[in-house]
Amino acid sequence: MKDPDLAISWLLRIGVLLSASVIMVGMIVHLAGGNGRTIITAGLLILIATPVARVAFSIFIFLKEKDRLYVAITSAVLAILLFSFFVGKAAGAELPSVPPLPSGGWPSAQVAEPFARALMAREPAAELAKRLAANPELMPGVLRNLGTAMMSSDASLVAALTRYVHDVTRASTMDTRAAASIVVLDPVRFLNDAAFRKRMSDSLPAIMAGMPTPRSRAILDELTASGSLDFAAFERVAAANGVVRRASSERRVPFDASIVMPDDVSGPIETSFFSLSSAFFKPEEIRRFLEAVHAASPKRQLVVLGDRAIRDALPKGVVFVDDHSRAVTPWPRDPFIVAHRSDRVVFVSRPNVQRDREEDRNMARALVDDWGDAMWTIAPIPFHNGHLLLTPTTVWISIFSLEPQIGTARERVREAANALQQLFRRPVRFVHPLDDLDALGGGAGFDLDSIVTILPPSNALVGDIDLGVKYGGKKSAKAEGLQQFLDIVAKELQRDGLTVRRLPLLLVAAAPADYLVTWNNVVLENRRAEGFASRIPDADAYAKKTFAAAGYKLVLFPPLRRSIELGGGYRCASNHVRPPGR
Amino acid sequence: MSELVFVLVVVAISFLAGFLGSLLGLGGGMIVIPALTLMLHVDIRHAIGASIISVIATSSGAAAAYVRDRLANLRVAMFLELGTTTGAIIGAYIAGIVHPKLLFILFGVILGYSALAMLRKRKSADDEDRDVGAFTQHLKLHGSYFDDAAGMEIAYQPVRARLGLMLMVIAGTVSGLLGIGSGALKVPAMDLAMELPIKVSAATSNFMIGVTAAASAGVYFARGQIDPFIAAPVALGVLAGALVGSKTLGRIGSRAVRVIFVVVLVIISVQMLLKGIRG
Repeated sequence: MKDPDLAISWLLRIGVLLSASVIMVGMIVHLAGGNGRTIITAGLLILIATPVARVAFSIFIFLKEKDRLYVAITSAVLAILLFSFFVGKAAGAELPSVPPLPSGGWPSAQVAEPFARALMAREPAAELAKRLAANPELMPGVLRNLGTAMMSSDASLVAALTRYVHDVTRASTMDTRAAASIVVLDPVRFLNDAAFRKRMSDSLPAIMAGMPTPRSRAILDELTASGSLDFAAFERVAAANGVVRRASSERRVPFDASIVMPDDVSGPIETSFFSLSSAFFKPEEIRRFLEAVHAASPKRQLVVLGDRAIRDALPKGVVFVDDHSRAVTPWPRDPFIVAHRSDRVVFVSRPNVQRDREEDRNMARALVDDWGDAMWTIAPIPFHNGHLLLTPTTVWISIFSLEPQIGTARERVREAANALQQLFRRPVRFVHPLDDLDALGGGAGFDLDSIVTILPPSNALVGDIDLGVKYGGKKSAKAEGLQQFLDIVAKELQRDGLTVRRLPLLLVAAAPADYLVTWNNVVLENRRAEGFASRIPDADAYAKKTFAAAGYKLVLFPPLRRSIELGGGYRCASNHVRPPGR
Repeated sequence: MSELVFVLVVVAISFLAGFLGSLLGLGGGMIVIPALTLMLHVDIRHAIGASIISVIATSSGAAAAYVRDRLANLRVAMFLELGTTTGAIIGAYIAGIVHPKLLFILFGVILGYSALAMLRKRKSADDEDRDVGAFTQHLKLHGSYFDDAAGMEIAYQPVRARLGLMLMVIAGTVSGLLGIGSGALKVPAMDLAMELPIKVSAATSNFMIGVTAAASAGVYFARGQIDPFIAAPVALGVLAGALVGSKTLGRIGSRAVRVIFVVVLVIISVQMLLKGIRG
């Protein structure tokens, strides 16, 4: 018994002395400025091996003593040790302790960065993906701390973390919502902290690199639906992952004299754009509407910007462009002009954003991403298409057309009108006299195209509240004011040499806002006019007769009801590719 | 702080940790981790990696003396190691199912109770007519050592080996779950359940923790948690401290060892309770 004890004692002594000397040498080399890392590591490994060698050596001692019980026990211990040594990593790996989330704001860098480093060192990405799937309650703590670490000024940490999050995302089998949380790490901060959103948006193409298209689309849709993903970041990832055909950022052109704006009459219309989200319209209604448009102009290409629920409802032949769950409105008229630059379509987006219609600024870009071969640009000045009537020779406007609302100071009115004149390269004319601007108040709040139509060469149709009363319209103070404005307009246009006819106009009181039932809000194409039918057949017939008297054939389509109720007629609800005009 | 000063401070702290650890059969993590993180602002994961090295160094540094002096009982160690290693694997597998907060409180209470129990002198410690039981007899766990302080050879026969083994499974599970060294649980189990002399308990626990730590060191290396430049001064300091500690254990009275151990146990118990309450 004594000899083996001494032998073990010597084994231990040798192991300890050897490891201590090697570590010491390594430390001296290191402190002297050399690279002692390898030497020290070797010393540490000898130190670690010593107790294991002791157990192994004990087996021989028990063998020698013919103590079979302890040969078995010690061998079992050694087996368990080796087992946990080799597979312990997978079985026993624990997450580094997750720093608790602060009650407000974001995790601090002091705790988040060490956590991120520890996590990456300990937990393979695939393991983390599995662990998060099994324990989704871990997600906020783990991911939000990683989010803070992504804000680190240490570029190598950010790069390593980006790769890690990419690997976790690839390995994750969780649902879209969870996956969307993983790719931006901290969805709440992504929504609220611009600097964080920028950092994550810049990393997103790398994080989502190589992801299959359907999965990419689902995650991007989830992010855009929450309103947090900026369009440029979206399309960078979408284009790289095959979700859209191209990124519009590559198709931007400067706004210059080469861009030609067609007028409101030139035809035939080649393509019509509609924005039809399932949030506003029922599939049945959309199908009826589109079939009517197609029947009226079979050669025209119809393009619908919409969500995936709408895609399945579209009649054959209609081109679908995904809005990727963005909160776009049903009115593609206002946010961009469809122009030309040599033979190609150029969408001219307006620089002004309307409140609650922020996403509309990306309508043109979404079309560029996935439709045809178009370019886009941004106009140098603000405009509002619903307030502009473009004939081959003239831009017709009212003082309410001038963006931003500039009031009635004559100098500023003149300036703004000149700017529009330069944009459209046509003379600007007002539909009302300019001598008493304060008398025009009743026209405020109504889009010009909903109440006045200019039919080149020499006709004009002006809405008429009194005529509307005959078809069930109600009089109100607001309606009276509008009527006063319309009478002024009718008189002015007549003075300008146009033949003016009146169309019925109904102002319907409703919540959240009053809306118009109008036959003015029409799209012209040579000698045709397209509009929404009303539910008043007599008024529809009267309007058709009036258009016919002015030399135009009025075609009425089954209406998109919500569009009308929210204040937009057919002209608002559509935009069109026309030949460049003269 | 210059690098040389850093190294010297770490060596000094580690010496203390190695000394106390080898004396009591504990790992020394309870000294190394707070000192490195709070005093020297070392990253917690590197501190944990260094504490694993400190456990191995404590064990190995003291082991030569303990084996030579027959303080460490190889059979007891191997038999109980069956329990701790099995427990550690169980702990790793059920981690996440049990709430650590509750465990910290539970084991804080158990350790506190153990400390009190260990303070009371065992009645039957020297009784010759204890009922040892066939199972324990069969394991041949008896031994003897020469106690320098008492100036005599002390022979001992442990009892309740089955209970001891079960407690080791629990100790191993807890250390797997909570990531704490299990020395604090091993020594009371050997002392209270198996009625081994306190010095034998400390020396045997000292052997066992080194074996267990060595098995998990590979994982820490793989995770990059062992920073050579932090682990190296820790290893050197602890080895020296353990060498001195192992020479001391034989010479001081068993009563003194017991009192020091109880004090440290109370500290660990309070630490765990605080951890459990604060989360």
